[in-house]
Amino acid sequence: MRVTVQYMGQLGHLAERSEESRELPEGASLLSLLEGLSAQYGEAFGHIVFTGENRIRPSMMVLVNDVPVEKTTPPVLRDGDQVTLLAAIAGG
Amino acid sequence: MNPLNAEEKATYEWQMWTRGFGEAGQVKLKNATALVSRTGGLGGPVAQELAAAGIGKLILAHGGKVKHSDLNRQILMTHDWLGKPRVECAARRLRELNPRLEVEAVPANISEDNVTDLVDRAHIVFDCAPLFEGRFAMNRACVAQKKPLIDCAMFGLEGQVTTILPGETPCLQCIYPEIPPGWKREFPVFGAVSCAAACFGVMEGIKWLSGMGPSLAGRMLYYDMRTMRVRTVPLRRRPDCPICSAA
Repeated sequence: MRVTVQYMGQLGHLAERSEESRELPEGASLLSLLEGLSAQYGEAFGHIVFTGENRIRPSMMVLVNDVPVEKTTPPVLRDGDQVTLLAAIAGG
Repeated sequence: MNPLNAEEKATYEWQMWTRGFGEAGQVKLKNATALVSRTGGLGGPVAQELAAAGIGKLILAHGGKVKHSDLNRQILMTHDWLGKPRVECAARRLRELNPRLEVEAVPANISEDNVTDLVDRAHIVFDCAPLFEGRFAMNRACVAQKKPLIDCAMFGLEGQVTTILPGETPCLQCIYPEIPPGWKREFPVFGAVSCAAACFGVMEGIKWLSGMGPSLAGRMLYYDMRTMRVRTVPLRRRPDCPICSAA
């Protein structure tokens, strides 16, 4: 299945893209997607997304099809889902 | 409330034609005080647009002196003021724009030491600080004093704005329970990107002050000028938020 991932804030800077399409196995979870992205885009990316206990950081906003997800129980993804990752920003 | 004088009626005539605003809204704006944290890439255009629109008083809080690296975006700073206090430069420019405006220039950044007093003296707060420590301090004070907080932020070609109404909407620490890791004091920035966030934020503030009603309460507007995508994201209150759950 394919999902679209949109990056906002520092994550787009680190991934050097605003959006991409990713091929995932059927039934893949949001958590496995984020783990794959963190492995690909490096330690700084992973540090923004995950806590040391491999949980999605409270300061991360994650949307699936524009709906905020409950980070303690990340959902299973479906073909065509749009995942948006918003890293906190404070620039002025 | 102090009414408009003839000069003010002439100055604000065109914006008073706005549906739902009118002279009544302009009078409310004239009698309002806004606190703007910093007068840089975000806070500068926030202060400028509020001054141009006819707000009665601005309290500006910004430490430091004007540097070359400020001048790509901090539109209230000028080349001839390099090395001099930023907040004085900003106040000088704003008085040139609107001589009726009362400006209080505080030569310090928002901190735990001054935030309670500064928020207390304002009707509304515009959060344009570049570090989460300052943003969280303003959030705590606004929640405690039940003052609206217009939160504006940017990074690179992206920006975001939300309106925090204590007791009604999520507070900043519902959205960001912790200081996010990896955020640095220096960040990529174009002035036009900051200015866009500032203008969205100012209109939220003007709507709240004039009674037109803010539209970003409980939602965050997010834009990306690389893709020119604009969206609003729903926000949730955290029942266990240590800052606002009791508000």
